[in-house]
Amino acid sequence: MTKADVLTNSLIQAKAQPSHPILEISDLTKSYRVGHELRPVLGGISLQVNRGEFVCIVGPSGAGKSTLLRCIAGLLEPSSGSVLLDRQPIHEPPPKLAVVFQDYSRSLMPWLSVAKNVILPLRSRGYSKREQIKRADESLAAVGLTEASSQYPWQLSGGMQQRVAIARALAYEPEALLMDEPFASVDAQTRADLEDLILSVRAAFGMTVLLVTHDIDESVYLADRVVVMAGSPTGVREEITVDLPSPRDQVRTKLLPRFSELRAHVLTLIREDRVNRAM
Amino acid sequence: MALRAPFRRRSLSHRLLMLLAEVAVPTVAIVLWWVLSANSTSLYFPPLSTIMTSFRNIWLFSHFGSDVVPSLENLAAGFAIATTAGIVLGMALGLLPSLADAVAPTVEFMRAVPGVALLPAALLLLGIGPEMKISLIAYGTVWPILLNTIDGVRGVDPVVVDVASSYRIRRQDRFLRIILPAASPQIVAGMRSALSIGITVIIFSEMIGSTNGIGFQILSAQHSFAVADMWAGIVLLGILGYLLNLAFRGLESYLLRWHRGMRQLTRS
Repeated sequence: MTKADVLTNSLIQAKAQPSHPILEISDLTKSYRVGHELRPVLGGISLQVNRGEFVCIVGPSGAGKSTLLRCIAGLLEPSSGSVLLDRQPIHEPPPKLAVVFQDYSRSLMPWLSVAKNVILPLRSRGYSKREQIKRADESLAAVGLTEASSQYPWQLSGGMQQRVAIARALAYEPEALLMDEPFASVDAQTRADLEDLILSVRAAFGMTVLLVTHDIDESVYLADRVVVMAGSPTGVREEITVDLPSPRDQVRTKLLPRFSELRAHVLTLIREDRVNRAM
Repeated sequence: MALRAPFRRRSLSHRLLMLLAEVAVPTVAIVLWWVLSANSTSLYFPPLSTIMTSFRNIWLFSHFGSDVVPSLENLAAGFAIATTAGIVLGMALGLLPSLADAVAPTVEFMRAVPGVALLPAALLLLGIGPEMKISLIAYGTVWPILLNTIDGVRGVDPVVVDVASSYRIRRQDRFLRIILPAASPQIVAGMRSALSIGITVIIFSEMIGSTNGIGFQILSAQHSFAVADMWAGIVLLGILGYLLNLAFRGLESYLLRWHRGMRQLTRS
């Protein structure tokens, strides 16, 4: 064996991961109390996410997508059913998960500089000061924000603010990244840039990503698998494997006939649901 | 940017004008006072020049150490106690809504009793020493700080709370780096109203139950018909109040620089 082979082998070994899904959601329900009434939002969601997979959850507004994400993140206790991360049940936010919230202007601390926003979660992890700064610098560099590190988040554009939130998640070194409509509040061009950023970051860090969106194009463009949520209370309507070539490209991928087919399919499922709800 | 430049220039000249007016108005008032009172023979309104002579004789510097410094020390101590207690209790009550509801009527009742109304009781219990004044100031000033802290803590954005829990941010950072700064604009506003209450309480407590202090000097000057001395003390109070407010504004613009910057950005 050459040195290179040894290195490759050891890399493969290091990368060898257990084969069970990183995330297993079984028969999860969630009801909210509205007055004296118990209103079900999620009605028995079962879903598995494999290690390294990019899964998009798509569904109409008000379908409980964010509720599902909050249950997975450990921010909300489900009414019944279970969420397992690495076979461990989730009852509180687990250390292996990082969340990127939709509203960047509210999820970043306006009194802290960009770098300090990224460092804040690291302080609770017992890293040395130098280690904290190093990690923050690296993850800010990964999202192209080295220059902005000493600024306040509100001095940056919306797209840059969401990149700070992504850098904060990356510095946290999660095994899985949960994103709740992360690009819903930015303009179309910024949105495309952020979509590509998250694809490249995911490729570089080999992370599992679970992203919630109401944008069908976005879900098909980003995901390895699209999970369509529909019905009332909401269930998984269909899971669609996205067999589009990687790496994706905003122009070329979206010109592929297969892209149009997949997007039309998802759109039809969601349309049907809307008709059913109206009736 | 080209469009905004003239606006900025106008706002700069506008600001210069405002600064000029800020200096001009008191200057004109003082000159008027000086001129109009120059030949006054009234016992109650002596000429400003006489008042200024008393001011110099009394407050620069013979009574500075014996009366001004103790007043300011007591004010600082009472205000510091009120700020600490108000913030600590306010954080606790803001984070525990059921506890806050339980003590709300009590707090409202105690707040409704003006600090100065407790002076007779404080005199009985604590005498006329600094402890009495410090306690009275702390009591009088704690309420706006406490209530504003509770409001500020309750108003913390739930998204920020989600971030804190999903990133497992440790307790001390949650308190000191998230909740406290998030509530700080309201806390500082509470401290500002507390400061003016504090000045009232210290002067009043010195007038009634003290053997030194600015308030004591003003009232004893009045008792001995040293009217110019009395006015000199009142002038001193005005100057001190102004300087304290200035110092507080400096502290505020340092502590809340992020808040001001953010607001200016959203307004433009």
